[in-house]
Amino acid sequence: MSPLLPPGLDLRRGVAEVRQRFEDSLAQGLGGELLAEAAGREPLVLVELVLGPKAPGGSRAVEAALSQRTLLEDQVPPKALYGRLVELADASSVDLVVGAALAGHPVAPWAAALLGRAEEPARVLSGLADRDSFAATCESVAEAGLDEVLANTAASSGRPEPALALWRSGREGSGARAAVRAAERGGLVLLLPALMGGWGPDLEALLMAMLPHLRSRALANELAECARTESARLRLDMVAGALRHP
Amino acid sequence: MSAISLMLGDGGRRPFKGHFRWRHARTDRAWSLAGKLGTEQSLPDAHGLARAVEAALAQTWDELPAVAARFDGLRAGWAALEGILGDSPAAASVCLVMSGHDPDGACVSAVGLEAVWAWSPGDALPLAAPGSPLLASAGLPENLPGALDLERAPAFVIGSPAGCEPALPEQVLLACGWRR
Repeated sequence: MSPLLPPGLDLRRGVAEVRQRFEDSLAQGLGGELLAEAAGREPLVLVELVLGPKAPGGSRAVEAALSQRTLLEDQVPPKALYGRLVELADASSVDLVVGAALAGHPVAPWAAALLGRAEEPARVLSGLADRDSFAATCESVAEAGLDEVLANTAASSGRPEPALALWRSGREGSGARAAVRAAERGGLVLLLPALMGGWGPDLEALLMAMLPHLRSRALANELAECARTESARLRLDMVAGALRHP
Repeated sequence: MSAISLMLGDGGRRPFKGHFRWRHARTDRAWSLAGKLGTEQSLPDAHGLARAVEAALAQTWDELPAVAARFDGLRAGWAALEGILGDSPAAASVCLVMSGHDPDGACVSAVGLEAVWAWSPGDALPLAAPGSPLLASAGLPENLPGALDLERAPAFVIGSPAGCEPALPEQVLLACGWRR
């Protein structure tokens, strides 16, 4: 394939032409290729094209930029890079940017804070659930105060890490709610070893903390079966009887 | 009088992996234990062992006679642990503190700890000096361990195993997973 940027073109002096060619390449779905060429010749021009004041916005431009994120991170601090890309993204691409930021910087507070600007933050975070860094990322998100995001992530992934992260941040109620949401998806029994590994060995206290957040009769019954004291079992039975949701 | 036994959690994301705790209370006497085992095993296996220990102690203390003295509960507790763990690999990793009280006083027994504290809000008293039998190395002892006799039961008896997470005084109970 012939180069998208003519070999004779001075990229620094001809930024306006380069920008025009970049916008044309975006329309052809070749934005990433043009950026790769620019990066190979003038890395600073890559930065100007993707992040500068006249940088084009929208999903194609953002996807092209993300395809060169390793080179961009060599030139620009990641917090500034992803913050600017979030500004340039549209509704259909902002989650891509936030997901890339968290995947590359799983424990950075600024990356966790970007989740607050995602369209579907729980979906973005759930998408990272298979990574080794997921627990650390959840802790970072808990520190950012995004309890609702963690509860929704627990609901969509069925994983215990959101609850554990919230407990480590000292937010017992939010953690218990996330534990309930995770258990609603996959059942409590399989989650218990992980939950109690973070909560502590007091199973009855855990069940009582989860009780106010129960929505389904089936889960209330499961909790009652796990309970080892009569008083806990009775309370959970009462709640199960009162819940409308089967 | 309460003498609730607690154990400090470990460092890391699963500070209570393999931790167990149980308390049996009657009107004028009670027994409790807190400890950990199987920490080198998988999370589900350690969890299963811990719950099995709790179930064994629950049954043992439930079956004690109404007038059982504080030391009777401790002896029965150690026997129950021997019965369920025996010479299994998990027995070698056991760290625990067990306490009991009756109208005449309180007693504490332990294994595998670096320190044992009588703890009440605003007051922490070490119960064992270095070299004390209470601080024997981890693992279920071959012979029935001795017990420290106390005139009065503290609110909590806290065991501190090797490698546990240090905690500020006001966060000690939470560091033990005590959330009531």
